[in-house]
Amino acid sequence: MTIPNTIDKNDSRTKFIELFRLYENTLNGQKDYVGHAIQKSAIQRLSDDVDFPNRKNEDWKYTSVAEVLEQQYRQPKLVDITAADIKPFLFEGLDAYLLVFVNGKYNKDFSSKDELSKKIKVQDISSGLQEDELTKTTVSEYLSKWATKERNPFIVLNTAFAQDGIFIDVPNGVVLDRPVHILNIAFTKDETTVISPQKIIVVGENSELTVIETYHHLNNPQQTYLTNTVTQVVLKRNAIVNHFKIQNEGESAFFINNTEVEQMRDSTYSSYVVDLGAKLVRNNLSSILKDSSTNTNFYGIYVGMDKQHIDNQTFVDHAYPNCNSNELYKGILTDNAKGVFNGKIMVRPDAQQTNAFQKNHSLVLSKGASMNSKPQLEIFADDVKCSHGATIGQLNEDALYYMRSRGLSKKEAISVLKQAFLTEITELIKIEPVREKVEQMLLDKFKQLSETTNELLN
Amino acid sequence: MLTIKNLHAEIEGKKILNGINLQINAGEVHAIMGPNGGGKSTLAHVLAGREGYEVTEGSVTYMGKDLLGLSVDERAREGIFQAFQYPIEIPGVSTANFLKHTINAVRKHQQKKELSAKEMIAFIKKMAKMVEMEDDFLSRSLNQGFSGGEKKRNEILQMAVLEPKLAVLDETDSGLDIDALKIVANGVNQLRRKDNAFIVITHYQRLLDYIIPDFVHVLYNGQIVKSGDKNLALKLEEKGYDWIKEEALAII
Ligand SMILES: Nc1ncnc2c1ncn2[C@@H]1O[C@H](COP(=O)(O)OP(=O)(O)O)[C@@H](O)[C@H]1O
Ligand SMILES: [Mg+2]
Repeated sequence: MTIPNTIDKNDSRTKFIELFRLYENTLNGQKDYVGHAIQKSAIQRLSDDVDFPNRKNEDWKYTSVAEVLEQQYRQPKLVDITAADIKPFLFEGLDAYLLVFVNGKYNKDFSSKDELSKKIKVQDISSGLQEDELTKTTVSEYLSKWATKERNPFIVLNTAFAQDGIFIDVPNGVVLDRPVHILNIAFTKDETTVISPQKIIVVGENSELTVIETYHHLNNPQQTYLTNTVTQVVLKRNAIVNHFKIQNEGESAFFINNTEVEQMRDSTYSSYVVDLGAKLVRNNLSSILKDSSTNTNFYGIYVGMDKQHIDNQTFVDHAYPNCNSNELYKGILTDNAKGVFNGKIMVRPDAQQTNAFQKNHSLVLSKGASMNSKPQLEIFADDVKCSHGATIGQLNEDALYYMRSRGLSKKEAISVLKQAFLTEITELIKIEPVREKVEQMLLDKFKQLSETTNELLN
Repeated sequence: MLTIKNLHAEIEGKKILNGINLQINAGEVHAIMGPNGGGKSTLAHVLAGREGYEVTEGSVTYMGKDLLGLSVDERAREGIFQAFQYPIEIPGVSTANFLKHTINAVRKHQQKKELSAKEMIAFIKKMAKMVEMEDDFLSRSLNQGFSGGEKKRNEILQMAVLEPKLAVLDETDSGLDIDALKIVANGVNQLRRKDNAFIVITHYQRLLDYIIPDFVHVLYNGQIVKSGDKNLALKLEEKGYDWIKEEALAII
């Protein structure tokens, strides 16, 4: 491929184009396969058409990716992990199908793919594109779209660099008996890598799937890396998907999550996002409602400390009548952490009888912490029920005193109140081992917070 | 157990307690009565350790320790309990979960045997039964949407599970109908032991028909202006507070 002369050497895109060249050299004989052609068109598009955002861009007003882009990234190497490495990341007491990704690459050793394949289709994308008809048709449709039409540069970037992504196809009429746990582990030793997990999940008519994506790391905390992940979820008629994304990346990591959902008639998609780790988090979550009578639930938890920056962008596109969407995001910010919530809801002219509700509540517990919450409702139909609300508050001092008067130390009382604030969401997690793990992860995070937190209360 | 000497306290620069003297021994129940604004709740808050109340003079000794040097949660772990006049609602914290946290914190500090999860539930349920609280209250958020009477019974439940040495009940009876009042009184009576003591703050003599006090004190203008036995409460019921106010003025 050619690099256009016009491109500035310091342009962050140049570095990725360079990196792509290096990557190509490692491919040897595989350069010809269909997946590589798509990767090539993605990098071409990155150099020609789409640029990374700056803060003049309305959707990136509160989140600067300058630090993300100034790094000199490498493609991740293949690394070995052990059963002991992954054990702490599993859900105790949860009987789940496990799919493990290390640095964005599917790892057969720890995955229950064979067992899962008896019920549904699970195919790694790179070989599927060459050998498998269904993968070829379904997956290449999305990959080509991302490579040629996509406006979000991080999705284009993911398309250029993703290797060994996964395609999951639940046939019509299958209610999968157990959740699928997709465990993503970053283990980049001391290299600044760009990790590009890619998942395409199609759930057939009248089928049901629970997917739990978790993002963990085995790096030392100071290690910088970028996880730039793309997950496509397609719900056919009357399908049900419960989709968890629990993120606890390293404290010097950048995490960009692009989740795109398409919903057909009568389908129900529920998303549960929990962000605890990473220095910078950007979640782009969108659901495009492609027919009537769908349900969409977006739930989110964020807990930020130090200089963490956690940005949730959601978008629900109501284009057909009788669809319901319901959003609730809650978070706690201390130290100099910053939170951003931007909830877009589009109700197009034909989308009569739409119900669209959105709420975002944050506790901001120190003077240096801040939250920017922006609902963005664009309503072009008249017979609709839509509402939104955002609040920013502190811990209730009377409640704190009450608990202390019963013997809880200030630290404990604060921790209980923080947990209580998030209960409205954690109690929606109906899979007990998942809820317990999330609650434990929250408590662990609160313990880290307690040393520095609550200057407002002193 | 508790010795209060010449206690003066103020809030936001306003003098509220003006030299309280009170001696409470293990096994005793002291009733504190008096007109509104006399400083009863303030005394309860000062004993419990609420921030914002400044003690300007005097001392409080509890079990041989300087009580005023302890924070509110330290006092609670040392066995002081205040049943609030206005209990707080805490959404998101279930009553059962809250009780477990507090029981653990207090028992651990007092070096009592920790309860297993099973023992804990059995213990909480037994005490809930004593205050006639249905089990489903335990799974509801603490005090949230509870009626006035339910909140007060919840206070007694907390007292029962924490087994305090000194409990201060601030108008736990106000706003209760007679049935709820009996439940509260019955709870207190069942918890009365030789090694604990109660301060019962109340406006009304009727509570003292059920919780028989050893002493009755009248708190007025931040001072204990009269003390007696349970008959003092009857006299107050009959004659009101005016005669006490007049006596107090005469002394000044
Ligand atoms: N937070 C406060 N700030 C200022 N004044 C207060 C405060 N709390 C109580 N007071 C005043 O202190 C006095 C005693 O109040 P309180 O102790 O509640 O009396 P009681 O319980 O006997 O009715 C009253 O005059 C009341 O207005
Ligand atoms: Mg009072």
